[in-house]
Amino acid sequence: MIRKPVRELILLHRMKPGQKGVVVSFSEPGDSAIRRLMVLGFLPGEIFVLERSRPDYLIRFGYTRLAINKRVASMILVNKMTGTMVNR
Amino acid sequence: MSKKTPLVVLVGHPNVGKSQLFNLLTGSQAVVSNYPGTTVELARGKGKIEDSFVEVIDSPGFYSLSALSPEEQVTRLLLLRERPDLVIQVIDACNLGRMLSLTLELLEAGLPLLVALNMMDEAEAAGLKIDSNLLARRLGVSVVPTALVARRGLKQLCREAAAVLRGSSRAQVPRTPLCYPAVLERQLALGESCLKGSYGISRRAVVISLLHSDPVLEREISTREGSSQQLRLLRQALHSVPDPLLQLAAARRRQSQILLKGVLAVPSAEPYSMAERLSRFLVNPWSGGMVLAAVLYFGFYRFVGGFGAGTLVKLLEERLFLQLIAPLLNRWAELYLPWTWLRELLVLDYGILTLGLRYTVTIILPIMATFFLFFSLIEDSGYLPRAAYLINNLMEKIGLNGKAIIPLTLGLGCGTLAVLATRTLESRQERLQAALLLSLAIPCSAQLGLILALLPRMVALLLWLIMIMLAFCAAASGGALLFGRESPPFCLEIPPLRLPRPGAILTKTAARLKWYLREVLPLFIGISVLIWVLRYSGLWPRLIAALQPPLAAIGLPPETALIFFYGFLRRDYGAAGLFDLVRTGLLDGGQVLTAAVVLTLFVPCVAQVAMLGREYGGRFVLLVLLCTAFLSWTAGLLIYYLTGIPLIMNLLG
Repeated sequence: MIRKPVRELILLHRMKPGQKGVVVSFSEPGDSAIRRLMVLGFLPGEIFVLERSRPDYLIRFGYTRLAINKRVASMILVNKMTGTMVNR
Repeated sequence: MSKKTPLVVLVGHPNVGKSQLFNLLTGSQAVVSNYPGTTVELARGKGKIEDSFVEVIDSPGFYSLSALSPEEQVTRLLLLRERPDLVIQVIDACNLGRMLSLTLELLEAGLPLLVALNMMDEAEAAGLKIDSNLLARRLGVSVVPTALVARRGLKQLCREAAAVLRGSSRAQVPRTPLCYPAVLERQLALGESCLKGSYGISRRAVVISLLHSDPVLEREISTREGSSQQLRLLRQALHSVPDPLLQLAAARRRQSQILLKGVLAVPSAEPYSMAERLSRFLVNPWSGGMVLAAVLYFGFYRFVGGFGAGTLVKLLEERLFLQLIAPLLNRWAELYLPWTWLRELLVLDYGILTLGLRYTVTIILPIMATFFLFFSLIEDSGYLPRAAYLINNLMEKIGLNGKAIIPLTLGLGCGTLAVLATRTLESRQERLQAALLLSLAIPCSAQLGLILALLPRMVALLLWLIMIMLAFCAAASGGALLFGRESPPFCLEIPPLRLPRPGAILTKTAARLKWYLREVLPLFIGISVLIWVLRYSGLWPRLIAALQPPLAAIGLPPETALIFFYGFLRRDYGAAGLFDLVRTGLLDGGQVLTAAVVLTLFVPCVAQVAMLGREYGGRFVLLVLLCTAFLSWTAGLLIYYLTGIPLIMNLLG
């Protein structure tokens, strides 16, 4: 059974540690850090976990872990996944 | 054509085992050198694949042909210029999903590709199942599963590589071609039709690489096209498509997902192992902070600073050089070199052999050997990026980012090496900022120990520390003012923790040591010659005399001028000179403190100045010299007035 998860559109730096999210878009796709994220495979549609938000942001997607600072985190629009997980 | 040794280029993301493959193919016989026109190092070596000799190049970590960092741009330039006969992409099997995008780019560039699906052991341990044959059929190139740590799959990889080199295994047209959105596709096709030159990569890849500004690449392309005007128009046309880079990346990822359907089976459970638990411990600000402090203290301060710069240097310099070799050299010179000037140039106190060569071999070698050993250890284990993550927030406050922890910590060991390590920072602004801080406010191990011994009283030590901190803050804000203070974007991949292998660490340490010695040896020989010129031209006493008036203004006797001049030649000579002067009882407590502060902040040593000049140019050196001279003198003046206050004078004794 696939239950529709509850979603909420926010900027990544507003998420809390432990929360899951899906990347929606980047506010500045030309920024060098965002371009770095893109070549690392962190693209719209990617599901990730925010592992830590202090001292900086630590995100994990698949087997990849990335550290970004607040400036970069605030350029990423995400769909926060609350309630049920996606059953696939 | 067939006379030429075939060229094999190894590419792939960082930390996937490229260098391991390089060492296996070449037997670790690498020649590391700058790629022409850049400061990026490439390892080249002669190797053997099956029965034929090949030239192998190990490229720096590389995420995409849409290159961002100087290292990536060099790799791209290399592929475009050199027309390799074989490109081996090394992939971390655990991260196949996202590394396949690069495979698609390399295929799109029309390169003769072979994929090494490395770290299969780790992938298997994590429960991943990969059908490499199916993937190979879909991609149209060979995919060889390997675990290069254990040499697994190496034979098959060589067999496939030989087949590509012989030309008997040609890349087939991929079954499912990569499709971009129609608007983008049209612009790309248009761009391709504009290009006339001949390149090592496909015209489509050339057009795509034009999406980023990279002056070196543009020059390369415009010489082949004969006009730069057209390139500009081409780029404008490409950028008329909204977010072309995002669209390209998204299309490649879609394609990877299609290709991996049925190829990759991921276990449903989340990865959670011992390494994972340790990783969490290391990135936690409390526990990780303590580990970081321990690593800095035991690793850099005790092992590199204490054992390397102390015990080993003493052993080599005093026991071996000063007691055995130097007397021999001097006696030999007296016998065979009748000219004093030549004798002074080669031996005696400041000669090429006794100063230049001695510095390099008896001081630099042990310090750097211990340093590179420890550094390779924390690098290979994956600890370094975790430390950078922890410290990033603090570093941003002084206009740097977490990666600057490397050069700044190094500065406590040897400033010259630290300046060299500022190369690892991304923007020029950060590099200059770090170099300024290093030159100004970070005392190196050579002087640190002696200064600490000079200031036995708590009050004096505290005042010294406060002055150094003040200078650090002044330099940090001054640098931010000069070089700009935009909080730099920070994005760092944190690789999994791995148990480092001793063999790899020793190879790496040896290679780095060789490279570093080649960099500093000419510098020290140059310094010996410079001192010789100063002494013979009669400038030496004049320089010392010129130092005296400003020293008198901060209450220091003329005898101290010589100390500062020695301090410029070599930091610990300055500190040692001060130590001797204190023992003669010439200086009171206040003067000792003043001299210690000024000496710490005083202009960097001549080796560091030379390195600064080589890396950042003469104008920057002038700036650093003026800043350090001014700041150290100002700090001295401040201490002079402070110690004039009776209360403080009493405390200092």
